[in-house]
Amino acid sequence: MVNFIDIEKFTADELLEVAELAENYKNFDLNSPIFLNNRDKIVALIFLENSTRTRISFEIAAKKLGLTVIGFDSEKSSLEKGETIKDTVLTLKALGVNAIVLRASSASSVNQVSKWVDIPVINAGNAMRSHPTQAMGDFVTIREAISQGRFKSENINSFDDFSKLKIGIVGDIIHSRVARSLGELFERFGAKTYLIGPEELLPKFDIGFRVEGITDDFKTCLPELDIIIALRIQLERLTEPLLVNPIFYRERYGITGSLLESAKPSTLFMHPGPQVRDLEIDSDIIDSDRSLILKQVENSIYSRMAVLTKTMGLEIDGINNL
Amino acid sequence: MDTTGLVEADLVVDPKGIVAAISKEINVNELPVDISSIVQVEAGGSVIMPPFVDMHCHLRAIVQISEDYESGCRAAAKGGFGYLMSMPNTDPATDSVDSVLKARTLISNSETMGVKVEIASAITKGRNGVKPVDFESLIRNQVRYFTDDGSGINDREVMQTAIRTLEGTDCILAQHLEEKSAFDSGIMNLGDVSTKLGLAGISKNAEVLMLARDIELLSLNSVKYHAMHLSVAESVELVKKAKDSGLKLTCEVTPHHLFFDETELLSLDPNFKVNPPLRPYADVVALRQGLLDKTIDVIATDHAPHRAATKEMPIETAPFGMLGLQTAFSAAFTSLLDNKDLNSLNDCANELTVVMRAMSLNPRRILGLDDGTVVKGEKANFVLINPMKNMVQTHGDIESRSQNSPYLGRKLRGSIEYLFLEGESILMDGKLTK
Repeated sequence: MVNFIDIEKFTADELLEVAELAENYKNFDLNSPIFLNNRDKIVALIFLENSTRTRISFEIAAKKLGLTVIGFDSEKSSLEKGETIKDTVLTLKALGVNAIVLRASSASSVNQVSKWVDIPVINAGNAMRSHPTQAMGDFVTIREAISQGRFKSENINSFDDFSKLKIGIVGDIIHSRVARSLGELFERFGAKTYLIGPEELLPKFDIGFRVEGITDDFKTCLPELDIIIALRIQLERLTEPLLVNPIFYRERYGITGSLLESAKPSTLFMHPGPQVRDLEIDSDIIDSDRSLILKQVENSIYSRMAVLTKTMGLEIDGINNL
Repeated sequence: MDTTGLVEADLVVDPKGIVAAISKEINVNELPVDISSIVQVEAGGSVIMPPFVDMHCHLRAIVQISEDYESGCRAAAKGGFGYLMSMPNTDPATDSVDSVLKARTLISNSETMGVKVEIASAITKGRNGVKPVDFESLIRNQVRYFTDDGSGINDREVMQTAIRTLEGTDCILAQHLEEKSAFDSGIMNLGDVSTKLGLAGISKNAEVLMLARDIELLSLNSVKYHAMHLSVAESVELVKKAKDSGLKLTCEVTPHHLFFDETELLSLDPNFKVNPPLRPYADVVALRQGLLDKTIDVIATDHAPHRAATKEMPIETAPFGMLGLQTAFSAAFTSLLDNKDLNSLNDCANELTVVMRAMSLNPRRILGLDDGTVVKGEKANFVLINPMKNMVQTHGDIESRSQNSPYLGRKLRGSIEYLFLEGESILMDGKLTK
């Protein structure tokens, strides 16, 4: 694994290896001195688009691995002075950086950077295309829920039953890199993906992964679903004003108490964040044990640790034997 | 001459560049030249055609560093071209007698390898689609080609005015088909691939709507209308219907729209960002068919050099366009062969004829140039092609000042080996003579 850019570029086995390593990290004493060997390795976090959680999550992941982290955002860099991204990454490489984590508002930058430098490049979100480490964290979270017996009533008892899962992604699908990466991941492991939202936020063409159903009728689809992943409406990406108003949206697509009544008792809720409370998902659901949101945040760290380990080829004694 | 238009013969060009003999069997001892001075070329299995004519290329020039007349003409010569129509979307736009004369001076001061460069003028001032240029004075100064290429004429009245003004002249009114409202701020074809990548798409309607409108205008007034770089099946259909109904119009397709489809964008490589965008394979097939059934008259390159630093920008902001002069024949020929095996020249006679028609004969006819027939006793003026030879373009082969070729590393079939222009040897064995 040289780079980590799009989920669809990896086999199920490769993705499973990353998930299993993340799970090992979760159970490991991270204060162990074995990580100190990594101090001479430098990871550059280049964030050319606003981000709080992903950036902090990557920083914590790298620091837990004992890596040296340098932060970098466009406002404080030479990119603002007209330097190209190519020159920026070539400079970082020359300065001895060992891996690049890149968040960009362009779909192409991460692919381009991976061709210009021969060090690992990790995609921390590229425009509307991909957010593979978010998907990996969510994958680990779902695996965890299965192993905890959360879907026992549906006869989903182990990861072998993953393909029985029916997962609904609700909201602003068309602008969502998370939806695309999750959809590619669910396809790899056979789970059924439903895309749900107002028509204007649903794809009008083939989105590139297998979709079981696509509908603007959440209520009808809901009783089937084992997992519901709500998405934020990305107002900043809209090229035309939204036709649907917030009240109507909440009524039809919000994860509300009344909606919960028609869901199965085992149905769990996720959100990649940042979530708008009481529009996309009600506060009391976010804070209930039906919500996996904080687990997603936590697992994103271990998944990013695993991705950094695999791409950078970090050798950490013992961890693989756990 | 058989039905394909290909004739089998040997050919001798004397040291002065005159075609000394064309015959099925030439006896060198009977030639009116000193045979010791003759360089013999083993060209069995090769074909000659009149030099190609490109009705659509961007030579930038003036102050732009992505290309100049010299580098553009070197690329053209290597691609077998003898004549280029240089587009007016220069900076500033070529939209006045002054700017045309300035460009011509620059050309006459450049080493153009014998390639003739003609200057096209914009249709509207500054190419902004509002105020028509001074057609009369431009025509008086021998400008015969008008286009706002890079933008379409969105305003129906402006287009109608241009048509009426040029009605009855021998001038060509060439339209870059791009209806702004449907183009949006797209980056690539609107469809499955753009949806997968989350990139803004360009609807095919951007092209089709404007073409339909123009055809309607042509039914009211007649002008030498030329539809540039068709990219979708519906456009081919519209042109076919219009021609069937008796309207006089011509149209072109680029080698890259024949060769590539939209899936190339999956690489997110800005070198595949071009306008009109690469389309789904079904459109590619329709374009090839349109060329074969003569609906499409011309293959034109839309050669658009961009320096590396701009094509290394994010795909959303990188400029549209790709190189095309050097690879035009091979790309078009390869696409028409569609993976067919070639054992002899006969296996590709039809494809060769189609390319010759679209890259040489038809553009010559449309632009009112000589037909380029190779005649004994006249100056040698032809391109020699080896259809059996494959080529793979590398950065080192590129003569342009820019490197934005989408064909790098791709196997292309057919190779341009020799070019004679007005008796002068320009290309020998695939290499420029100077």
